[in-house]
Amino acid sequence: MTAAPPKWITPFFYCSVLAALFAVTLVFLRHDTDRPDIGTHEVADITINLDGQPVREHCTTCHIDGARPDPAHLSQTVKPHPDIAPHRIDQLGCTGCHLGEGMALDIEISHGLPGLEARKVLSGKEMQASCFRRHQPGPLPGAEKAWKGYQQFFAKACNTCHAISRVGQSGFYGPDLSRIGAVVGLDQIHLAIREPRKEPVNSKMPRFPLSKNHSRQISYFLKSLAGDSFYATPMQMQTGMAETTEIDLRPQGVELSDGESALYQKQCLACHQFGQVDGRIGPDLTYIGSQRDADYLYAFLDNPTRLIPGVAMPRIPMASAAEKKLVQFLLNDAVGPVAEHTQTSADVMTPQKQESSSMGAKQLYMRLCQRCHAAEGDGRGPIQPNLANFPRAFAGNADFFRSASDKRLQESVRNGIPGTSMPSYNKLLNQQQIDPLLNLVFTAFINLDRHDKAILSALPDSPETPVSQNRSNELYVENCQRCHGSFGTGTGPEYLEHQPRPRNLRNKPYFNALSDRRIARVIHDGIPGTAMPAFRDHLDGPDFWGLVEKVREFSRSQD
Amino acid sequence: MARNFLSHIHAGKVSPQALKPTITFGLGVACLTCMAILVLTGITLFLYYIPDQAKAYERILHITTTLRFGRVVRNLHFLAANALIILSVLHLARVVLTGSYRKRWLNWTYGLVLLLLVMFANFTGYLLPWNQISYWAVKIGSALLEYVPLIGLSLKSFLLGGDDVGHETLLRSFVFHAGFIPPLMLVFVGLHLWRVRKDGGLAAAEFSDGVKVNADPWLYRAEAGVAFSVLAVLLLLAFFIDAPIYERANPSHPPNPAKAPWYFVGVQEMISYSAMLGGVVVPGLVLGYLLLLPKLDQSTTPGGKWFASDRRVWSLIFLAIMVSQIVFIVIGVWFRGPNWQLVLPF
Amino acid sequence: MVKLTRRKYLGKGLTGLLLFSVGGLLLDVWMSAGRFSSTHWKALVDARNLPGDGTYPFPNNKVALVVSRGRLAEISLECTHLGCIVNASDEGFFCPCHGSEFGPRGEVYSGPAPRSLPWHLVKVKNDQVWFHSGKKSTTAEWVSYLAKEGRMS
Ligand code: HEM
Ligand code: HEM
Ligand code: FES
Repeated sequence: MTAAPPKWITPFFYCSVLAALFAVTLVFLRHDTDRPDIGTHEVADITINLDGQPVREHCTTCHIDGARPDPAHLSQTVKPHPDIAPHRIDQLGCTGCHLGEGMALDIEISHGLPGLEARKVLSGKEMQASCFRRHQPGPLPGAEKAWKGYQQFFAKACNTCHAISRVGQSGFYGPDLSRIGAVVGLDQIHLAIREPRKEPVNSKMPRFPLSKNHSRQISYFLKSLAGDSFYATPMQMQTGMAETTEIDLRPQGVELSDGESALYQKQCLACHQFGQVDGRIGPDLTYIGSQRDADYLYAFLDNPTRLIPGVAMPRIPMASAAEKKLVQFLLNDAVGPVAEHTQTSADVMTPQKQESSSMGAKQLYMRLCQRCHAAEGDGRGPIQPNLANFPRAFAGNADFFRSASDKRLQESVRNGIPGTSMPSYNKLLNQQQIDPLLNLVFTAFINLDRHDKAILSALPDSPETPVSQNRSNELYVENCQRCHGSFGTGTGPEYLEHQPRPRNLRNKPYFNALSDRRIARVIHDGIPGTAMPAFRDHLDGPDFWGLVEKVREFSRSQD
Repeated sequence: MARNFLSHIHAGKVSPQALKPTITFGLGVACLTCMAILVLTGITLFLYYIPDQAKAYERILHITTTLRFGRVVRNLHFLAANALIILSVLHLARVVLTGSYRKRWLNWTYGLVLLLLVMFANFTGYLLPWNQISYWAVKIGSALLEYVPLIGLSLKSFLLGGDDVGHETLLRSFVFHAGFIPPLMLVFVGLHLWRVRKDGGLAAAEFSDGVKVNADPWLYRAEAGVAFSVLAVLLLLAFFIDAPIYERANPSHPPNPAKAPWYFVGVQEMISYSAMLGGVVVPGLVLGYLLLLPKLDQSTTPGGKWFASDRRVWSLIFLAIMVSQIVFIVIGVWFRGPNWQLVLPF
Repeated sequence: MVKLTRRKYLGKGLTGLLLFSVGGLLLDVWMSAGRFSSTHWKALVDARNLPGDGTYPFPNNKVALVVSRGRLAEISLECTHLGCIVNASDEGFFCPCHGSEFGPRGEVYSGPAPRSLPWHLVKVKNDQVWFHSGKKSTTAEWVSYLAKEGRMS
C-alpha cells in the first residue's frame, strides 16, 4: 500500500535550495568588502634569504618598493622608504627588520596580532630594536637609543639577575632574556619593566625608578635579543672572540678608592643608596659599616638569603680581594657614626634645629627610618615593595604597640631584628637619640602614650608531657597552613591576600632570636595590625606549646 | 547515477513514520552533510597547507588572507567541524531518547565509533594552524591522556610522536587528520547507513501498519532539504563568523589559563575537582554506560517513541550526563580565568 | 573429518599469526616516533672546580646543579604547571609565568604547579658532571663528586 506523501516535504525542499543559493550568492558578492583593494590587486610574492632560510613575503603588494601606502587607496603610495644604504631592501626584504607576518595579506594580521606581540611590526624610531640582532652592541648611527638601553641594562644592574647570552657573567634570579625579543613585543617588554608585578603578582622583580625614556631604551635593546646573534657563534663566544662591550659605571672625573669604586662597578648603587647616590630599590648603605659588623657583611655578600630569607638581592660574584676592599671601605672609610655625620652634614642639622631634640629626631627619622617605614609611618616606605619582610607599620597600629613592651621596642632599635632588613642602631645612635626617636614615633604616628600598655592575659604553662607530634602537625594543617604554607614558608594558598605577608617560619635567624614564650604569646594573642589571629579561645594550653615546637621544627629543618 | 546510488542505500518504500520530522529531526543527515562539507573544504585546504612548524601558521594566514575565497573555505571547515560534534551528540541524544538503539546494538556501536572519530578528527585538526591556542590546547588535552590507566602514557607518546608537542606531533596530527581518519570515517558511515537499512529502516518503522511512501522522490527530497538547510546555515555562518586566528605558537609562553578544546573542557573542569574521579572514573563510566546502554535497557516499547515510560530511568541518566557535561563545559569555557579561578565572563 | 577440522584450524591459526605479526610490525613503526628522543647525556661542568654548596642554574639546558656537602644532583627547571623555565635562587625556584614557588629541593611552596620539580639522572665521568636531559625521577639522584676527586689525586 502506498500512502499519501507528507505535504511539507516539497515546500521544505525548495525553501532549503533557495536559502542555500542565497547564501552562496551572498558569499560571492560580498566576500571581500572588508578589503576593497586586495581582491583585484596582483599579489606580490617575494622570497628572500633570511638567516639562510627562504622567507616568503607579500608585504610589497601594498608597500610598493617599501613605501608607505595611502590608507584610502592601497595601490598608491604616499611616502617612499628612506634610504638605508649600505643595506639594500631588495635583498633584505621587510620582515627581517620590521617583523610582521609576511605571508598574510590583510592589514591587521600582517602587522602582527595583539597578545604577546612577538611579531608586531616595528616602524619609525622602533626600528633600532632590530639593529643589534645583527650588529655587535656599540655606538651605531641610527641605533642610539638601543645602545643607551644596553648601557642602562648594566647601569641598572639588570644583568645581576637576568642572563643574556652575549654576556659571560650574569645573574640567574630572573628569567634568561637571551631570546626575549623573539618571544614578546616591544610594548610588552616595556610594560614588564615598568610594571613587573602585574603578572605574576608575586614576582620578585623590583619596580625600578626608571624614566619612561630609559625604560623605552632598555626595551629597544631587549627586543633585539632574538636568540644567538649572528656575529657571535657559540665557538666565538667560548673562545672569547665575541666580547661584550664593557660599560664603565664609575662616575667620571672623580678619584675613588678601590673599595668605593667597587660600589659602582659591582652595581651596588644601581639599587642601594650611598651618600648622595641613590638607586631607590634597596636599603641605604651609607651607615652600613656601623649597622652591621664585618662578619655579617662578608656572610651577607656570600649568600644574602641565608641572613635575610626572601631578600631580593642577588648574589654578586666578586673576587675575595675585591670583596675585602669593599667591606673594609664600608666599615672604616664610609660615613658614620651618625652622630659625627649629622653634625658635619649641613643639610641634616642646622644649628637652630640642634636645639630642639624633637626636631633632631624628625631629621633622624627621615634619614634612617623613612626609607622603609615611610614618611607617613604606615610601613609603606619607598623601598618596602622590595623588602622580604613588611616594615612594622606605626600609623594606625596602636594595638600592636600597646601590647609590645617598651623594652622590646628599644631592643629592636638598638640590636635590629635578625633575619630582616632592620639593622642595629647601637653604634649609630646613643640613648639620648633613641628615646626621642621612639617618642616621635609614638606621638606622630601611633597616637598613643608610650606608657599605655595592655595587660596581657596569662600564657598557659608549658605542659609536663608535650602533645604528640601528630597532634601538632594536625593543628598546624588545620589552623596555620592556609597562610604559612605546608612548608612553613609563609606562602600558603591565601598568602597573597595579606599585607604584611604571613611570616616565613623557616626564617632561621629570626626565629633563633625569639624565645619560646614569645612564639607562644604570638599564637595566643595574635599580632594586631596583621592577619595573624589570636588563638587563645580556640586551642588548649598544651596545643600552644605543640605549635611552638612545630614552628621551631621549620626553622631547624634547613640543610 | 546519483539516483541510482541513493536507491541503493535506501529501501524503495519507507514508512510515513520515518518521514515524520519529529522522529529524527534529520540529525543523521545533517551529520552526513557536515561530513561532506568537511571533506570538500578539507581537500581544498590540503592544497595549500604544509605540516611544518615553521610554515604551518604562515600557510594558514596565506589561505585566509591571500586566497580569494580562502577565508570562507576555512571558516566552513571550522564551523562544519564544530557543528559535526554538536550534531552527532544531538543525533545520539535523539537515538537514546527515542530508544532507537533497541535491537540495533551493532549500529549503535558503529555510531559510537563515529563519534569518537569525529572528536579525534577535531582534536588533530585543531593543532594544524599551529597557533598559541591550538598548541596549548593540544598540550593540555594530551596531558589529560595521562589520566587513562595503563595505556595512557603510551597512547600519549603515540599521538604526540614523542614526549612533547613538536615537529612529530604536527606531522602526525596532519596524517591522522587528513589521511587516516576521513577514510576510516567514510567506511564507518557506510557501515552505519547500510546497517540502518539492514535493521529494517528507522526504528519508528516498526509500529507502522504497513502503509508506505515511495522513497523516490519523497524521502530523497526530505533528505536533500535537510542537507541544503545545513549548507545554507553553515554558509551564512561562515560569512559572519571567522575561524579564529591567534598568534603563532610560542612554546615558552603559555597563555593563562590554557584550555583544552571546548569539547574536552568538561573533562578538564572535572579534573580540576579531582584528577582520579574526573579524569578516569567518570569518563570511563560514561563511556561504559553508552556502550552497554542497548544491553542494559530491557524495555519493551518499540524504538522510535520519545520518552517511553519503561525507558525513563535510562533516559534520565542520559539527560543527567548530558546536562552535567554542558554545565561543566560552560563553566570551563566562560567562567574560568587565570589559574583556573572562577571569574565572570564579562 | 578430523583432518578437515585440523586443516581448518591450521589455516586460521596461520592466517591469524600472519596478521598478528604484520600488525605488530606496523604498530612498532607507529610507536617508534616516541623512541626518537633528542634527550641524551650532556656534559655540564667540570667536576674539579665546582663552586661551593648552592644551586647553579643552566637555563639553556633546563637544569640546575644542586651542590650540597660534597654531593651533587641535577634538578629540572621546567615548571610542572605548564613548562616555563623557573628562576633559581638560593631559596628555591620561582616560575615567572604564573608565580609558582618551589623550595630548594623543588617541593611546591605555592602556586598553580601541581607537582615538585623532577630530578635528572647524573653521573661524574672523566671529571665532568653529566646529566641525562630526558631521564627524570621524582627523587634526587645524588652523586658524590669528592670521592672521584680523591681518586684523582
Ligand atoms: C558522524 C556521525 C554520524 C552520522 C553521519 C550518522 C548518520 C546517521 C543517519 C543518516 C541515520 C539515519 C536516521 C537519522 O537521520 O537519524 C542514522 C541512524 C542511526 N544512528 Fe547515526 N550517525 C552518526 C553518528 C551516530 C552516533 C554518534 C550514534 C550513537 C552512538 C549513532 C547511532 C545511530 C543509530 C542507533 C541509528 C538508527 C536509528 C533508528 O533506527 O531510528 N549514529 N545515523
Ligand atoms: C570529519 C572530518 C573532519 C573534521 C571533524 C575536521 C576538523 C577540523 C578542525 C576542527 C580544524 C581546525 C580548524 C581551524 O581552527 O582552523 C581542521 C583543520 C584542517 N583540516 Fe579538517 N576536519 C575534517 C576533515 C578534513 C579532511 C578530509 C581534510 C583533508 C583532506 C582536512 C584538512 C584540514 C586542514 C588542511 C586543516 C588546517 C587548516 C585550518 O586550520 O584552517 N580536514 N579540521
Ligand atoms: S608554568 Fe610555571 S606557574 Fe604556570
